[in-house]
Amino acid sequence: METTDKARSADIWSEGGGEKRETAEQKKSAAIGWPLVLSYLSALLLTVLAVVLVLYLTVCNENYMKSRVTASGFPQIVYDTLLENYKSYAAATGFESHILTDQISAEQIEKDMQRTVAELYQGDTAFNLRNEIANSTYDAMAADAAARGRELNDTNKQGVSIVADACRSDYASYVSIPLASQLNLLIGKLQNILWIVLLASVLFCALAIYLTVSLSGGRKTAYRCLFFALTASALLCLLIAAALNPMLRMENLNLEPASLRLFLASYVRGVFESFGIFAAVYGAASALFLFLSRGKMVRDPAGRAKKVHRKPLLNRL
Amino acid sequence: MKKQSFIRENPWAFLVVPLVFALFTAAVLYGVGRSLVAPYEGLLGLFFSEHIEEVEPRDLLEAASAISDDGSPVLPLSSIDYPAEGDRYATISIEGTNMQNPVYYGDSHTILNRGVGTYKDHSGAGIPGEGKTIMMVAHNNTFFSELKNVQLGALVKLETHYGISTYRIIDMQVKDYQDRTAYDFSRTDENLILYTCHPFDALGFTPNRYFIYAEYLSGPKLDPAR
Repeated sequence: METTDKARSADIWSEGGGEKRETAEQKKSAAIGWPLVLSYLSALLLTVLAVVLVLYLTVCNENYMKSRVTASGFPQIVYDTLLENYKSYAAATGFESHILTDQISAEQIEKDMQRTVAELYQGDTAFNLRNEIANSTYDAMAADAAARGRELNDTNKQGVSIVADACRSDYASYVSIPLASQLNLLIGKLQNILWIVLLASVLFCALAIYLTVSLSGGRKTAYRCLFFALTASALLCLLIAAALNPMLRMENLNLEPASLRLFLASYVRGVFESFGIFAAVYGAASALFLFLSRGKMVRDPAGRAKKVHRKPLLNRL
Repeated sequence: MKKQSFIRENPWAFLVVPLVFALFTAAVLYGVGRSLVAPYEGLLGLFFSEHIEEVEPRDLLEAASAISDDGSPVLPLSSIDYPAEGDRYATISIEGTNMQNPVYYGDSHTILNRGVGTYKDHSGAGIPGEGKTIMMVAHNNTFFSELKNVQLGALVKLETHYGISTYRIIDMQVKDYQDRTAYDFSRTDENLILYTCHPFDALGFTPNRYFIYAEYLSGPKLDPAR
């Protein structure tokens, strides 16, 4: 009798127990609603956090732009273009091409461009006239003319100055950042906004995660919800990195010269590829929560909770 | 049997729920993004080409079969491979000189470093056979250095990938580089103008240009109607 009573009291299907079970299950499904919503919110906020950090690490970072100058092949492309221009000027003005082309090099172009980037981020957006190119070219031409026994008279001097200035002008226009002042304004505003957005997204993200865990009604469910959030964020970051960039078709940008077009395409591509890092970080974190959420609590006939060792998730899927 | 909670207990939730989260968000962002961008799609299209293909310049002369010099045949314009910017399509030689230089379509710095350029930025400027003004330019220190030795009445031969055109030099003049009376793109009779910087031994930039004018004698004619 005692055993039967015990069994009956433990039996949730006993008379009056069915109602209790239904209420418990209704409460359970209602309880999962909020953690699920908060899990989704956490996923969104984690993605926003990734966006903010990517912008901070790329657009607001001088070293990122400098790295893109090198990665896009900008110095070599500009050098090749200037070489053609200078050769043409030399052939039209009575000089050997090396007199003009020796004044520039791909390494110098890279250094000058890196310095221009540094000046942009320091707020110095004045157009660099590159007068040193005109001076060195003029001097080289004058020296070459003298070596050939040809004195520069008033007419010649003006003609040679025009050529030197043409070399300077080409160099200055190719080795520069277009719309520098507007870009500087944008970067400044972005830096100010990003701090606020970063702080807000970190706070709200932390709050959402805390509430997710609190309202989950158990560690396993909490781990699951966190796994959902982190995996969804990782998937979104992966989508941005892998799918959004090809959709922009930056390689089809109608922009000249080619050096600028390739630099811009490389810059934008790098920004999107940075999301891959966050996809990996979130993916690693979600793998941790997947591991932690293994196992299931079940009730034995006596009503005692016990842990059941289940097969790893990957073996069951 | 106790009903298993999908979210709490089903292992498929690990796959389905994050996918639903991600796809739902992506769909919403795509919809919002499209509605924001749609009004500006036309404007954005100006900044993007369908496909930018870096086309290597061609040597049309090399690719052509044996070029015949059989008078002045009329060829359909559609039958010839019209040169694109940077294509080499002819060789120029002038009687009384050692000139035998490649002729390219266009007159960029790159082209002038390789040979003789053909002006193309006017509807009245054309290639041999089109019945228009043909304007060719090269540097006085390289490919047109021999123009200083050219005599009146000398024949200019342009060997193109579709035939050989011949012209006779009728005039030479020195004019300012901004003098628009130096050429006439409204002419409908085929005529050839060669020009380069002047004087030939100038140091630095010079505002003068040496123009050589030649009249058409023979060569294929290109019919745009066919």
